[in-house]
Amino acid sequence: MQGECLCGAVRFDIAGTYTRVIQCHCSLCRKQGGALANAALFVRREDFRWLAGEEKISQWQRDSGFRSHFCATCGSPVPNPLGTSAYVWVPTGLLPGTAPLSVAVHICLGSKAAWDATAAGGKQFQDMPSFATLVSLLHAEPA
Amino acid sequence: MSATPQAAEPSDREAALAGPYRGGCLCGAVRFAADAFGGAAHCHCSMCRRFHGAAFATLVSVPEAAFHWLQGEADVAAYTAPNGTTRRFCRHCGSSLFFHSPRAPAGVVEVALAVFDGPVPVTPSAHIFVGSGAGWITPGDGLPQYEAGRDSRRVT
Repeated sequence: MQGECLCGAVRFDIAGTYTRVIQCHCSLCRKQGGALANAALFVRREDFRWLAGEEKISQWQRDSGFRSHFCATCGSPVPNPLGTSAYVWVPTGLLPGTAPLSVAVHICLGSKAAWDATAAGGKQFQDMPSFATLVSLLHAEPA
Repeated sequence: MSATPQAAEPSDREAALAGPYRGGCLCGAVRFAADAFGGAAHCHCSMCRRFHGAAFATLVSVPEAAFHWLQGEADVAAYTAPNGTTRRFCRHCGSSLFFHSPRAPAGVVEVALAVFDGPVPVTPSAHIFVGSGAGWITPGDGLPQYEAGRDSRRVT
């Protein structure tokens, strides 16, 4: 499965099968993407590969460790490592609309925007569960 | 990811402005205010999905006369796609902020609703461009959905 930023400069490939999407509704993720929630896959590092444009990526990091990596040309959020974990955070907006995905987890619904009424289905959390919980939910076999 | 609210430092100019609805980017370099709003919609097109990295974008029309820069206009970068649409973002932190179509009515600024700091008197009223939307998102809010723009075929 391949993805790319808006201008096409940054491109990447995901090997293996990843279907379960997480959406975070917190204030930082809203500001970063300019959307009511972000949407992402947690992809194992060995399954993620840059195809082009890694040198086009700009980075900003908050003191807390919150990262924003984006294409310097078009501004699209782009994949970046999830801390020191074994996973890469991959924004699913960069994948084809036909990708066989489904939203499995919503987090930080307790701090969602007042006008955010769209969350439906999946496992829903008011705050942020542990990373281990998220990994377990995102990599479980579909029921 | 964190639920900690973003605390941007207000500038003197911001403190002096009456407009109550302020917004800006993640790092705080870009700040603006709006004191009136037009309509808002969730856009599912492939370009909005990529620019915001998300399932869809949510854009609100702000009349130009009601839109005020507080700081950081020079910190905004722009990308114009082959179809003539322009999307603007903070060059420091990448926040996806603004949209412009040369085919849209003049005199409005399309702002990503999510980058306002706090509650705004805006409720999105439609999903647009669901005909090119991602198959993995199903809005659960019951709003009307249109194949393309609001004047296109209504899907649900």
